Amino acid sequence: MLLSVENITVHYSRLPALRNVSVEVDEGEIVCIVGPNGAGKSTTLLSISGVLNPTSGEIIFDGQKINGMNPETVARAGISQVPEGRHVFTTLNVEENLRIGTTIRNDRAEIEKDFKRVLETFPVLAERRKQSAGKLSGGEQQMLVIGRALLTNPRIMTIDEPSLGLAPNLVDRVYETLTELRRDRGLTLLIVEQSSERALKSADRLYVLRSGEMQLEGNTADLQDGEKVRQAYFGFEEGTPQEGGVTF
Amino acid sequence: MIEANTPLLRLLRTYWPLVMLSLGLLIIVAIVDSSGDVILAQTLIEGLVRIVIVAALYLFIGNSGIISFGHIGFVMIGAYATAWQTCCPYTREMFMPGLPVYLLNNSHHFVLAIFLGGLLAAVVALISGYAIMRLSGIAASIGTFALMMVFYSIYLRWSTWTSGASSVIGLPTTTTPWVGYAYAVVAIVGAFLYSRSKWGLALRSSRDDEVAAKAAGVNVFGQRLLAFVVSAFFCGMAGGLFGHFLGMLTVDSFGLGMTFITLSMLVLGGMQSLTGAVVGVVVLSFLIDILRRLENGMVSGLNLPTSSAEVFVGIVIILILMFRQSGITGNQEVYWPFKGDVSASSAMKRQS
Repeated sequence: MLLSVENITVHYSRLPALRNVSVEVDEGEIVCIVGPNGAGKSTTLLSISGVLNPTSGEIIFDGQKINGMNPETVARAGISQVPEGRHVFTTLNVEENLRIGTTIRNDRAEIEKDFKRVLETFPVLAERRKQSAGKLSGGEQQMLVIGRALLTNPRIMTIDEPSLGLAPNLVDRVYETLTELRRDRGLTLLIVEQSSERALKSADRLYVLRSGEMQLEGNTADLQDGEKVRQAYFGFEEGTPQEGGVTF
Repeated sequence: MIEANTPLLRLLRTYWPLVMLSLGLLIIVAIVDSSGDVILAQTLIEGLVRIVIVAALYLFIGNSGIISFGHIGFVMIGAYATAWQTCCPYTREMFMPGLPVYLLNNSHHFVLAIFLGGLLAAVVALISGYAIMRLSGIAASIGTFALMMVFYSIYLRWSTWTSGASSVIGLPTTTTPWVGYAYAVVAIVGAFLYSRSKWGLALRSSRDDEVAAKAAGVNVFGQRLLAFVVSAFFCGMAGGLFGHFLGMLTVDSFGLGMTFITLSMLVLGGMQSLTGAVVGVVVLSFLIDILRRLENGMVSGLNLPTSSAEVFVGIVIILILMFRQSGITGNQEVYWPFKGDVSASSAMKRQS
């Protein structure tokens, strides 16, 4: 197992945000964590990346315990993080933004190779190499952040809501790129996503989180009809009357 | 129009801001030096020393985004450290009886003394920065302000080493316009090379977005500390230059007055560009010089009241903050005037 989160409990001051949550990601897999707002999805990723420290449980990456490490150390260990909300460096240009990803590396020749590869993967970034990143569109910024994360040469990439605030066709494009990256480079991905439909389409395995507790875990191939996921996601049987008529 | 494609031209283009800034200053120094105007020469030397300080401020503030009110403390540390090594060999024991025997009996060469002064400032910055650089935003700024007050109070009371509230008099006045120019260029080159380095880039990323910088593996604390120490080193050297310009030192001159005038220069020029730092010093020094002359009755019938210059500087800063927060230069460096780079020419259009 490349990454295993074992029974972690996380508190925001005294308020529990996660209770005994476990997630496992194997080498080369695409794993999605889905769930409604406030389920604890981002909390899970923030715990993995070292921003939050679980009150109990362990996070093991490649045989090494990583909970308690700070975010920079976790990034250096090989877990690259794409935080929620397209964090580009707005006053730096596209190339400088990408270069930031390489500051933790010292293998010059490999860096240049990877740099070219990223520009090939994202031709739009190559075109706008000298433009300030603040002037890119939302989709381009998401590509830039993913490109930057790739340049840290990660063993696993964690992405928090890559579709947030993007037009549907751009979301398709982002997911296409992610699945291509897995296919071409064997990149391992742990993605947090609100839409379970999207997760069922793109991931190998899926976890459903609600109210800080894990509701369901399984191969997406076995869950394609969506019924189980729906129940886990909303926490009620279909047909139960609901105010507001939530559509799924 | 020249296409920048030969290696030499590419090199020139990379270091273009350095070339232009050094040349520009060279012309100013040459003109003032040959004019024979004594007061103007004083303004010039003071301006060159301030360029060292403001370039150092840019190095830290421009790249980290943290406004520091503490750097004048490092200027003071450097100034006194230099005085311990060069001041008044015959009366040193009278002014500063607490100095160790070695310093009482030995003097160092001006250049070495200034270097060691910068080094002491850097060491103090390393120790104090180790605590303060963990803070971000306004908390970090207030921390640096507190630091400046701490240094100020210590030096004011530490009379056996600093003469306390009275002055240390008799430093050799070795800071000529050309010496000032040399150090100004050294500081400009230092700040430029640092900003272009991967450390400078990493620090700027944390300025834009601390979360994302950490996520990309940038050690924000370490990068800030590095910039803090390097800029304190240049500030310390500037202090040494300042002492050897005035020929005397008082703790009082390293307080809020110097802090705000140097910060005003940086803000006026444009905080995020080295060109801005230099332009800010030149423009504001020039304006203050004219106002001082008006205060002293250069034009008969127009006697400005004393301290008009300070009021004027205040007004200029308010106007800049209201109407052009990116300063005179718009946070841009001097642009390459020839064909071959899209971003440079678009920057040029934005300027005009």
